[in-house]
Parts: sequence; C-alpha cells; structure tokens
Amino acid sequence: MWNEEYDVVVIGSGFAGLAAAIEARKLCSSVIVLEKMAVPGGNSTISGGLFAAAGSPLQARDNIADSPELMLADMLAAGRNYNHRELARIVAERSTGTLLWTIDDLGVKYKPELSHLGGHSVPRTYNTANTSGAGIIRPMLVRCREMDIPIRLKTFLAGLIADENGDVEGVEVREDYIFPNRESGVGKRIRAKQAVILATGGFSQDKEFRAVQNPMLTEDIECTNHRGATAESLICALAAGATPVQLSMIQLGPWASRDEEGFGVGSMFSMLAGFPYGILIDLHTGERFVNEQADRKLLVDAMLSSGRESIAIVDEMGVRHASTLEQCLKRGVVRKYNSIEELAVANQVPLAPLQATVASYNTLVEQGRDDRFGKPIPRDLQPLTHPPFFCIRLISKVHHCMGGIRINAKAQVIRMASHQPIGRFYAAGEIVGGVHGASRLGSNAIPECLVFGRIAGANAASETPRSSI
Amino acid sequence: METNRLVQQLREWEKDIFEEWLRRMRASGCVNSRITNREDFSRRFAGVMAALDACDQEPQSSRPAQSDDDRQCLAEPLIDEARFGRERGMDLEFFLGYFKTLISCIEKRLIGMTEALPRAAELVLKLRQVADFTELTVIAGWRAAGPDRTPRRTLNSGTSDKLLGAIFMSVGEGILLVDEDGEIVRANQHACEIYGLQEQNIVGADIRSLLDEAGAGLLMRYCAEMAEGQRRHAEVTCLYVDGKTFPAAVTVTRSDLDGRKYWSLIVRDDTQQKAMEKQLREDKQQVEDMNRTLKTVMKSIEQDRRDFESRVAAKIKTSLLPGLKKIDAAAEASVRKSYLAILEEQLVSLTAGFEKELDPGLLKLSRTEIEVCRLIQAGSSGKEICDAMKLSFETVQTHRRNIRRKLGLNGEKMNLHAFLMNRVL
Repeated sequence: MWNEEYDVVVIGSGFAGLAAAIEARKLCSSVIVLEKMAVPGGNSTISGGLFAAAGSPLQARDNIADSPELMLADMLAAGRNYNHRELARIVAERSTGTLLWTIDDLGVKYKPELSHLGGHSVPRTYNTANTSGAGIIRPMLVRCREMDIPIRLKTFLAGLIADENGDVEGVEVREDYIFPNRESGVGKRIRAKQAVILATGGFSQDKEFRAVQNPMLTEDIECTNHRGATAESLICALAAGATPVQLSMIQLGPWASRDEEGFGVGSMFSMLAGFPYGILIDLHTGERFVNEQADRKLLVDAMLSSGRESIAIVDEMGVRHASTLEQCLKRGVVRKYNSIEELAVANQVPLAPLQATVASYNTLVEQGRDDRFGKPIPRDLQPLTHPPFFCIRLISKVHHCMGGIRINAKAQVIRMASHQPIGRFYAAGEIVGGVHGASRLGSNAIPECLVFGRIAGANAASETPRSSI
Repeated sequence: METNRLVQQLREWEKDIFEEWLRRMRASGCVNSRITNREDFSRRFAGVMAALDACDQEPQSSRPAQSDDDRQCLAEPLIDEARFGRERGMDLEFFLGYFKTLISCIEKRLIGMTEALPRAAELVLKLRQVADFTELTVIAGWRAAGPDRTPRRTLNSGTSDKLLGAIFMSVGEGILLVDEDGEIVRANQHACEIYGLQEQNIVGADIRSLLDEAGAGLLMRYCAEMAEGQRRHAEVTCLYVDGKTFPAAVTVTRSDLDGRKYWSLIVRDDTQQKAMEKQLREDKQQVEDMNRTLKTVMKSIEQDRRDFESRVAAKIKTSLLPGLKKIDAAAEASVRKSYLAILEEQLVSLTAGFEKELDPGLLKLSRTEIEVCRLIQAGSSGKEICDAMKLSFETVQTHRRNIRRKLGLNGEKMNLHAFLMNRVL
C-alpha cells in the first residue's frame, strides 16, 4: 500500500519547508522534502531577502528603540486588524531570535545597514548580502545536504491520505512530474510515521484561482512570483478538511517595474531607494499622490485608482541605498537623467508641475515639516537636489497571498468542521492564512516562514511515531 | 459635425476595439502584458482619435492635411508614441505590427458604419493618410537614429531574441549566455535544473559563481582568448545550489550579437558520464588484474609441470629402479608378486595423474613388513597379526615402528591403518 516511509514528510522547499525539515531532522531520523518544481527554493529564493526583526543587534547599534509589541502594532495596523493576532504576535516575538539563528546557525550574511520599509514604525529590516532570498535558501540547502535530508524534485502533491482516525498518515504524489502538466509523473504513496508538514507557499500565479477569490485580479495583471506559485496544494489541504482563511486577501506589490517581468531587479530598487528616499509621481499630472512609505495596500490602492501611471524618482544621494542599481541600469529598468527637465521629456511628464512637485517636496524635507500625505520625514532624509536623477516606471503586480489555511500556535492545521487540529498535520509559510491580515508588511514574510517553519518542524518530529509497516 | 460624432462613437467603442486588437495580437503571438497593456493602448488609441479630430478642425476639411507640416502635426502624438515605445525596447517591426493592427481594427469599425453614415468612408481615407504618414515618419526616424542610440533591454528585442528563445527552450543541454561582464544574461530551463537555480537567480549572476575556482579561471581565460565564432571545450567542476560539486563538460562559443560580445556556454552535467567512465576504468583494472593473476597461475602451472617431471624422473631413479632390483633379487613368488603390484600401482599413478598418493616409502618395506601392512590394512588387531604370522607381540611392534619410520610417519598423529587404507600393497 505504501511505497516509502519517513518519520516526517515536508512538502515545499522554500523558507518554511526547509526550516521545518532542519528542525525536524534534529529530533527524528528520517525527513524528506518534496518539491514539485525542477529546482528547489520556490518563491523564497527569488524574493528580496528582506528580514524584519524587532530588537535586533543592528537596531541596538543604531540606537533604534523597537520591540515585538511595536512590530505587532505595525502588523495589525497594516493588516487592518484582520490578523490572527496570536500568530502575528509569535512572529513579532520570535523575529530576532530567528534572525540570529540564521546568522549563528546557518551562517547567513546580511548587509551591515538596516532598511526602513513602508508601514514599519522604525527601520528594522535586515538585507541579505546578495539582496536575494537565495542568500538564506542556499545555506539552508547546504545544511539539508549535511543533515542528510533528501530534497526530491519534480514531485507533486496529489493528495493527503488520512488514517482510520482521520489523522494524516501520508501523501499521494506524482514523481517525475513536469510542471504544469497534471498528467505527467508516476503515482506513489509516501507514509509519514510522525507527521506531514505543508509548506507550499501561495497561489499568486494561479490566475484562475486568484480571480475566483478576487475577481479584480484579472489574468493580464502580472505577478512577481515564480511560475509554480499555484493553488493545487491549498486545494488538497481544503479537501482534507483544513479551514480556509481570508483567501481573497491577495497583495499586489506597488514597487515592481513595468519594464521587466516578475519581481526582477526593479522591485528592490523601489523598496530600498525609490520609495524611502525619493518621490512617487503620477505621470500625467507630475504630482505626488500618496505617502511613498505607506504599506503596500495603501500604495497599490492609490496607484490603481483613476488609472494612474506612476514613476518613482530618486537622486544621486538616495540611489546609494539601491543595491540592485547596476543591474537595473543595465536592463533598462531604471533610467538615469542629468536633470529633471531631461527626465520629464523622456517620460512625458508635464515639466512645470513636476518641477513644482520636486521643489515643494524639497522644502518639506529641508524644513522638516509634516507631509500632507503623511510620509515620515526622518532627519537624515535629503532633498532631491543632487543630479543625476534616477527613475523607474512602476506597475502593480500580484505578490503575496495573505490568506490560506488556519493553524494554531503550534502550527497544527485546524479542521474546519471541529475547530480542532487535524492529527499529524502541520503547515507553515505563505500557505497559512491570517498572520498578516489585509496587508503584509514588506520584509515580514521571511520571519513568518522561518518562525512557523521551525515550530512546525519541531512539533511534527515530537509526535509519537507510528509503528513501521 | 458628423465626423465628430463618428470619432465620439469610436471612442465609446474603445474597449471593444481593444479586445479585438488584443485578440489579433494574441493570434500573431505578440502578446506580452508589459507591452500590450491597456494603458499604453489607450494612449495610442487616443492619439489616433486626436489625429482624426484634428482632421476635422482643419479649415479646408475636404482636403485635410495637404502639406507635410499639416500631416506632421496630425501624426505627432503617434510619432511620440513610437519614440516612447522604442525607448522601452520595442523594435520597429513590433511597433508597426502593433500600430497597423490598431488602425485596421478602427478601420473595420468605420467601414461597418459607411452605409448609415457616408462621412465614415471619408474618415477611413483620413485614417489611412494619418496611418501612412505616421508609418513613414516612424520608419525614417527609427533608421536615422540608428539602433543603438538608446540602450535596449539586454537582448530582449528583435528576431535574434525570438530565434534564440526557441532554441534555448528546445535544447536538452544547459545553455548559458554570458556577456562581457561575465554576467549571465540568458539561461535555458535545462541550465537552471543543472545548477538548481531559478531563471531569476541564474540570470544576472556572475558565471564564475557557478564554477569552482580553477574552472572559473580556465573559462575566463578561454573567453578572453577566443575570437568570434571560435569554439572551445573544457572539463570543469561546477557547483550545485546546495554546495555539492559535480563534473561538467562545457563548450564555449563566442558569438557577437547586436555589436556586443557574448559567449554561449553549453553545459553538460557529466556526473553520470564520469561515473560510467569510472566504472569502465574499474572494469578495465579488474580485467588487467585477472590477466595478471592468470599469467601467474599459468607460470606456476608450468613450474609445477617441470617440478612434476623432475620428481617423476627422480622417483623412477630412486624408487622404481631399486624396486625392480628387489624383484629381481626376491626368491619367493608371493613376495615378487607383492613388489610387482606396488610397482604397477606406482607406474599407473605416474601416468594416470596421481588419483592415489604415490608413496615411494612403500617400496622401502621388507617382505615381512609388507605382510604386516597387508594385515593392518585388512583391519587385523595386533594379536591377530601375531597369530597369523606366528610372531611375538614385541616383534610385531618392532615391525610396526620400522614401517612407520620408513613411511615417514614418525611423530605424525596419523594412524597406520588409516594411512594404508588408500594404498595398494
């Protein structure tokens, strides 16, 4: 009946899945990670590698007062209190401990400066040294190899198998699967003596499924995710009795470039330089229209309303924070202009209003006055007076699914019918709903994935093993 | 005024026209949500509408846009759009395809209205004039400016890209395209799988990050030395995403595209090949070892043969010949018979390959001793031997001792009866 047997079976090889596998392997003797794509790492490995941590060493060095409570408050504010507060609190509380785990245990390298992302009260975001989630995924993959955790690629989750008590006993998979061909591969049943952990991410690329949840997200809206971010595993979990949570809460990234596909290199340019150190302009009016440092939902709503076409402008001072600048310029995602006039002509922005906008913004910064859009004006913010100027054309792209399945503080999946945990079934990462409510703050996904991945792994491997067959 | 109404009508149909246009673009495989999005379309559509409006406002509306200047004025917004598209990496062919499809969609609507509104036909003519002029101007402007005035998105445009794209995807080997900075600008699916990296990770990465130090150095040297079109082959060690190393065969070709230098790397994961080679080497080694062993065996067999021959010769000299003499000297027929039997047996064993042990000691035995041996062989006890041979027990014991000595059994644990079992007496 079963083809193979492991203590713990993890599905998905991103942040959450690998963290779960590593923690589980410390407590049990056999863990396998299943991944449907042909390469490991999923969305995590192409993400920006931003890690929000409250009360971190860099904050201490820079005398930035922060606390898990403040981080939680920021999460709830951005999430419009749709957050499952208990889960959000765990992420905030364990953020710094988990960050230190990546540094001390995995050897992840971060840049020595913090970033201040929109919606966060204070700078609390670490950047991986290579400005990519791969900076964390690679050390995790190395660790998996060292710990003898196989990562089986091209293996697609076709269903969860329950035992006579309704506990999850294993998974049905298709091996040698070729994404996205559902007919491909060979069926196999893998048994989990202790538990199954679902860490399969979100469904931003699943145009059909996301349009069902939010009909405004039509198929011509682009997406920052890798191709495999689809909903099959979520559907498996729901079929197994899991509780759906806020599936229509789907976030668009306001910072993505119109001139490249996916997340690309432009997104990080906007996040690290364009928004915090520059201005966001409506191409047709030449005026600002929103707090550039607002959370993503506010920004996207403002950008999409009345069909705005937006660009972000930053000067030579601000652009120093953009770690992907060189690649952006090379790929034509960011353009460089010697003057505001040149920038206006090239981008067809009406010049006079643009000049007026820049001038009034500069006055605001120089005099430290309150911005009418509510952009925080920290002391070190510089006016846009140093040419050359850099500009990125923006378009909102589907980025993150806040919704998913319900878990408890132990990362156990909760059965919809009983509100009790489904036995031997855990979940972590973007597949989980409720942590971020209506809008996830930038750089909060990595702590969420790692925190709950580790919780799920440790708890799964602590289940009493079933006897071997 | 009728024209005005027509244009107004067209504007109301924008969404339908957009959808039809998108359908046609899709049919010709030109859809890319970045370039064929609604916003850009709207702007361009508005440009055409504005041009048609402008036609109507010309003082001599029956003969619109006579001079180049007039036409210039009409086509201006559209030409701007072309310029804009070009800066965003569109190529001329694509822009014209885009534009012509747009014009044709609008034209179709207008022709549909000609029966009801005669001015529609006139407007079609105007539309064509505007379109032709725009095309001419755009083409002229595009060429005049030269292809490289604005940096294009790396290799993302033009037919070379399409061709490359098709080849890239269909090939079952890993292909990486590397530019002058050593940056990977394209990678096919197979290359991603070989290195365990997603396209987004591998594109933009430094080629050296995929190789060990020696391999990186070698490859960089090759790239630097190669002339356009040249091809070289290298065997290097590569790094998988989890830090595991694997052997790979890389074929490097320099190909200059769009005036820039690129190196295409065809990468083959040689893990299996190397494993097979290793297996082959081991098999070969094993065969060689066996060969050597066989030779040694043959040699020792040859040696054995020689030893055997010399032993036989020695035996004939030391055992058989003296035996013959003993027979000659023996008086009694039964004793002679006994010696003969031993000799015969010895001779048979010499030629028959020693099924039974050849024991030259037997020939050393005296007549009485042979008699004692026969009785022992027959299983007689000491007393029975005494009775049969009418000898005292002590005498029989002395014979036994002498027999053991002559047969070389002194100090051996071998029982005399057991020793004699297999021997012919």
